[in-house]
Amino acid sequence: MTPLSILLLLNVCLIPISSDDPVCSLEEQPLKNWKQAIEPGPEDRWLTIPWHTSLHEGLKKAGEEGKPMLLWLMNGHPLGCT
Amino acid sequence: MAGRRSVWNDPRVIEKVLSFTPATDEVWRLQRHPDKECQFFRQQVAGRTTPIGGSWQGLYVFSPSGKLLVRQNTLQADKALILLEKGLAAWEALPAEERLPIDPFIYEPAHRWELFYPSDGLVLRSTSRDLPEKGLRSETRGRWNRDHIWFHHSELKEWIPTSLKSGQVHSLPAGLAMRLARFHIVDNVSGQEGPFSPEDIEKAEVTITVGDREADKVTLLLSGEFRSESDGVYKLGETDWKHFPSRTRGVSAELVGIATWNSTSLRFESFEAAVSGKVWGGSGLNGRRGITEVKPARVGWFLEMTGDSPSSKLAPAFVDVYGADWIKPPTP
Repeated sequence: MTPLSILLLLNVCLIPISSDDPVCSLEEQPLKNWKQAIEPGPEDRWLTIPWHTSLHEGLKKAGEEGKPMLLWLMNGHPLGCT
Repeated sequence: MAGRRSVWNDPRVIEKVLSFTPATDEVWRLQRHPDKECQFFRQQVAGRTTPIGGSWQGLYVFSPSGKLLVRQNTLQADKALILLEKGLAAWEALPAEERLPIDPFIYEPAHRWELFYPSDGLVLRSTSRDLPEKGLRSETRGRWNRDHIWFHHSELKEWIPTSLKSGQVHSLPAGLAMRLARFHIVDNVSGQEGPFSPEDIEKAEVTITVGDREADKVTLLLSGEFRSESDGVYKLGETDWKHFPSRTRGVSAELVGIATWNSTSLRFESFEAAVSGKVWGGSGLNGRRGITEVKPARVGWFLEMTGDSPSSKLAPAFVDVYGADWIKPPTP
């Protein structure tokens, strides 16, 4: 762990960031920039749907709510790795 | 994968979903495994409890008793909307007695991997994304995927240096570093990829350095390096991944992160790490065409502790081959 890395981990960015910045290394961008660049944002509205995460939980809840169950199935869990 | 955006981001679909109890699940298990929940699914959709082949991905509408009302596999929001409207119409046409739920015992599972969720361990959410060619910021963000990483409470001590004096350096034991390399530093950005076998891992190193300390909160600085390369030959024995169409592929990546360890509660209070890497080859299911070792793709992973939402408790994609003794497979 270099002193530079430690500073960067503390979200101290030593290099100005611009949209055409060719720098994209772990040594030159603070963690918060990586998080912002990688994690889903407001464009992924489907994450706001209150999904139940299994057939059995969804069906049980549908019975409690008196609603039909909408079930979305994929190879790999749609809310996980698919 | 594409359906996440093309269907579920449509505001008309999101509004229509309010009329339903929304649920998601993984269909491979439902089609093939002997669990009661899976047999129930097969009976409702195919009229039999034995395994069913082909692709059963898609959208389904069921009554609370498990009666299938409609189903379709579509990546188009307009078609999904029509399906939801048909499902609602079929539901409203049901006689009152057919709208009643059945005893959940009939479909409750005996085994799901989520039963082994390590609630008092370390659970990380890993998001992977194609990175732009230049810089981190881009008007158009690349594709992304998600997985979860599990460490049991009994494995936490393996992350921690024996002395918490500032500057102490500790190497994550090979077993846990290999877990990261084999199952999580994997190119799943645009579709599932198989796990790496132990022989595929050329380098899996994570170094933990003790930083500042305030009372019982100890800062840990993380760095790591991973290099994996598969010849495309499956080597993991009889698992669900045996028939996965994997090909020659590789990953070269570095990790930097920071965590806070509470020396009183003996738990992590925070954990964030970025992994930057190059990937090549693939399964044919992960959308990498023409991506070779000479001309690799750039991928970033961001790892952080999860919250308490139901989706945070989903099992890792490769949980069945983790090889951890605290995770029990279903009984035959």
